[in-house]
Amino acid sequence: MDIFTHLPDWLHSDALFAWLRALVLFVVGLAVVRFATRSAGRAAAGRWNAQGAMLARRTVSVLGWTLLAATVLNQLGFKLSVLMGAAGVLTVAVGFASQTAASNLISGLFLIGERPFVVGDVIKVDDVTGEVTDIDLVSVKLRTFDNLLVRVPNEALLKSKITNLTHYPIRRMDLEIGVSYSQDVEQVIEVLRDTADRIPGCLDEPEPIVIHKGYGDSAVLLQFSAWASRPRFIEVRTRLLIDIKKAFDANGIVIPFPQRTLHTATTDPPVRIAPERSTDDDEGMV
Amino acid sequence: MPDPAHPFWGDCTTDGPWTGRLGPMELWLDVRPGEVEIAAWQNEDALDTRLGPASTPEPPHDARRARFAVPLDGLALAPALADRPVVVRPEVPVHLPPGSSITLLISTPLWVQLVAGTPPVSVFEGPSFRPSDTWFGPSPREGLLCYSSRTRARLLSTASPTSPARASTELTLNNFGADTLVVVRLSLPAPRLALYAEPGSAEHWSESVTFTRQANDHLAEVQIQRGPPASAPGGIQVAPPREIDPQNVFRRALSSLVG
Repeated sequence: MDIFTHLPDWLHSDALFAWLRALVLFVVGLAVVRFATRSAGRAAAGRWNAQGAMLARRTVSVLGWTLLAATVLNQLGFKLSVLMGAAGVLTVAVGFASQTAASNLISGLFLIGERPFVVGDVIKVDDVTGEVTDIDLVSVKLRTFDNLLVRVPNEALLKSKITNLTHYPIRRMDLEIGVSYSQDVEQVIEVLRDTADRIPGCLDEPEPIVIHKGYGDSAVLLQFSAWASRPRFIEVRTRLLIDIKKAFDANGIVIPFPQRTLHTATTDPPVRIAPERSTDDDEGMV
Repeated sequence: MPDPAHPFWGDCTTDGPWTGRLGPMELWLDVRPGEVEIAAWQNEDALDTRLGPASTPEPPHDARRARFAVPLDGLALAPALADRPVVVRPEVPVHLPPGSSITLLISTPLWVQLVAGTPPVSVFEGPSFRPSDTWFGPSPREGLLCYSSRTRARLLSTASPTSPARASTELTLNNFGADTLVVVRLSLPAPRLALYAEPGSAEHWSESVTFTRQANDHLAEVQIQRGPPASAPGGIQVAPPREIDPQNVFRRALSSLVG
């Protein structure tokens, strides 16, 4: 067996010490990289937001691992210049072969620079709404409210219309309300304002507004717009919808179902249509 | 409850359930060895002045409830001011010509804290009357979430005693600007103020505040007069400021104080 024949020679050679040194370097370097990554994360968390802290951790981690790998390989006798050259050629080849990934990478840089959202924000992309849990150079991960993980490639994100639902501290809810034509609209407006006034989470300022949107097929169309703080938005909207219905019921205000009004014709007999006959002709024919 | 003028506040380690009313708020407490159960509910009358036992011996089913495992030493009910700034409107918009000043009396609801341990730590708190939320700032993009007071600011000279469930604040406005300052609403920095009560009186007073509009129209100086206000000179501090700031004088954008 070749291995066992050469093992004693190898154990007494410099190669063993080189491997041991590399191993020690790797173990120490591993601890240093982990410590540096954690420290960078902690330092960034005190100054930046969650996204900045995550980016700092990842940057330090990638740099640390690259340096550690280069040092260990150098210790084992690999020529770094050759490796770097090979890596360059490999990068070009991989770049051509993976244009989508490169596009995602560049889109990711644009997104990180533009910062339309940060980790923890709730965003809507096309028909997906969820909380941003992770932003990296290739994709953004969302956790939807039914607890699904959605990965959106950065390139798609850059081309899409993104709605950030949690960017501003307060939000407006627009409720479409239709009331019967027989109703006094001014009374309806008063009831709506009073209902909002009784809900503590419904902001006094900016004050709720009612917009008359016109006359629909079955109802007078109103838009009731009220504001709430972002964390209480859903709760206040639900409370408002429930309380509006109760207040309408209490005040005899009807939200009509879609309806058609039919007017039946009068009961007069139909007009009889008959050709008019000339008396002379009649006589001639006789 | 030690002070007859403040029957609601103080030690509450009683045998069996205890109930109390502080204006619009009613409270039910059940103190058992090692734990306390509390229930709070309220009506919609911000100016309710009633004090005494709750209207029912048992809390209603929709009351806010909580149970705590706390040390019973020092278990007490303590008053506090609101945990956010309170926005108040004068009865009519106040027009303040250059070089003039005015003092308004502002009434804000008291918060009730259940404290326990030594030093006392708040384990539960809630407003005696839950004011509506409001936004105070130049736009929906910038500003601060505040409470909106249901009562109007009145001139100090026309003010009458307030409810035991509310605290009064003297707020002086000075206008050193170049033109008339029209005050439609103003934001009282309640979390920065300490609360005082005079022995033998059920009224509560906060430290006084002065807003001074600078010659530069966009800035206002806010000064907090530390200590009991002039209207309650013998007041004893019953609650420290929630936000401790050694500076009694600070500057803010005028739009963040007066609207």
